[in-house]
Amino acid sequence: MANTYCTATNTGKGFFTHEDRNAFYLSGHAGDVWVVGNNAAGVSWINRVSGTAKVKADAQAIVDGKREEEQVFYDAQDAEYKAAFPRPELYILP
Amino acid sequence: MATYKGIQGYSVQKLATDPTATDSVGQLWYNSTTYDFKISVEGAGAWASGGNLNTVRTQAQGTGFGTQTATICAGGNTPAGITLVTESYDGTSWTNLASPSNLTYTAYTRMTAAGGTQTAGLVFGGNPGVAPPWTTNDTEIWNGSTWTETGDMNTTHRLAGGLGTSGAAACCGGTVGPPGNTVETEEFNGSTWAVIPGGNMATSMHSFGSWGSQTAGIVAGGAPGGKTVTELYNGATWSTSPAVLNTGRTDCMGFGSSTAGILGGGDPAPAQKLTESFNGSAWTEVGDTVYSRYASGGAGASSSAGILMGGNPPVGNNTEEWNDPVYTNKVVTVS
Repeated sequence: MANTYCTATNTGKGFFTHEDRNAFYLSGHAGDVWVVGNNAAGVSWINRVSGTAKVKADAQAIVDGKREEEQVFYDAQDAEYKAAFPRPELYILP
Repeated sequence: MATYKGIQGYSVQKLATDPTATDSVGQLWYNSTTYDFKISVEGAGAWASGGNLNTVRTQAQGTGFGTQTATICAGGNTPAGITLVTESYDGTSWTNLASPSNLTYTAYTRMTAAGGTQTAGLVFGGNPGVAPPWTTNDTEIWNGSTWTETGDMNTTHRLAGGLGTSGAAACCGGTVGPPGNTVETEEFNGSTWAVIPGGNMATSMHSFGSWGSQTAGIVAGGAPGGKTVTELYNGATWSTSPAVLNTGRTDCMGFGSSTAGILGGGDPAPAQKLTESFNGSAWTEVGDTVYSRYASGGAGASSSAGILMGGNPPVGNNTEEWNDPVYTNKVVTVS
């Protein structure tokens, strides 16, 4: 399995480092969902940030829920806002 | 047989703790705590998490200026509406400045900032609220502690480009409505704006990345459509560079100089995470941001160190810091 999944709150400086980025795949998503490269460095990072492991389906459901909230917000905006920004789309986690 | 001392001029040091990677590139040492031989190596540029803003800021274009370790962020949108609050960054954490440091105008989002420093900055144009006219020519100058309204631009600009410093800035392109874009360039001398005759951009667009000085500026990307175009400004005229982005994008952010810059994020996907590096003649894809990021603020004086702050969901109040190269201490394995 190439990736693993967790939730963790981004605490700011040091939450993920330059060294982390060069050591494993990492991608942040709505709902504090993280897609993490499934290697030793990635697993170590999840432990370091006290991440809560999720199966992909659960992680995807969290992201979908947040994106649907963003869609509701977007649809309530005026035409000027909609001309400036795209409507948030649902997507599949890697 | 060659020895390490013979090559390097000194013996392998025995250290209880690792030295900082930045200060020990190319060196070998023995860590007596972990019983490892270690070296410091130079790696590819990458994004890391920076300190979180105190306030979630969406539509944050033009909210930031300064450097990665001495940054100002002001304006943008929050869940409660447009904010006037200014925050200051020291490379680790953001501090909300007291109310005399608030922007003075009614409201700002999607504005433009010139490069500036933590003690001398400039913001101009943008969206003054949630109702027409949606575009302003207002300008405010930052002295390190307060914002002061100064000379208005001759034309309203929103989602425009910003170059230079608070004493020598330029504003280019953007929207004047809706509807309609402008290709006009105005220059600021520290107190007043003047339209530059013959200073029209070749491409009519808005929501592009912009950085550099008043006499050596660059813009890239843009809307409508997610453009790949790059234009260069010499203080009088714009020219279209043969260099094009590998991925077209709008609402993107950049920093650096006209010969060494970084452009990050933007929309639509997949541009939202993609980062490109400009060397003066060509764009090269480099390390991705960790979040899908667009409509963020950006700051940084060189392509080796910069910061992106805030932006539309899912970013919220998060920031990311770019450094190139990245130095790392690694264990030497012999197997």
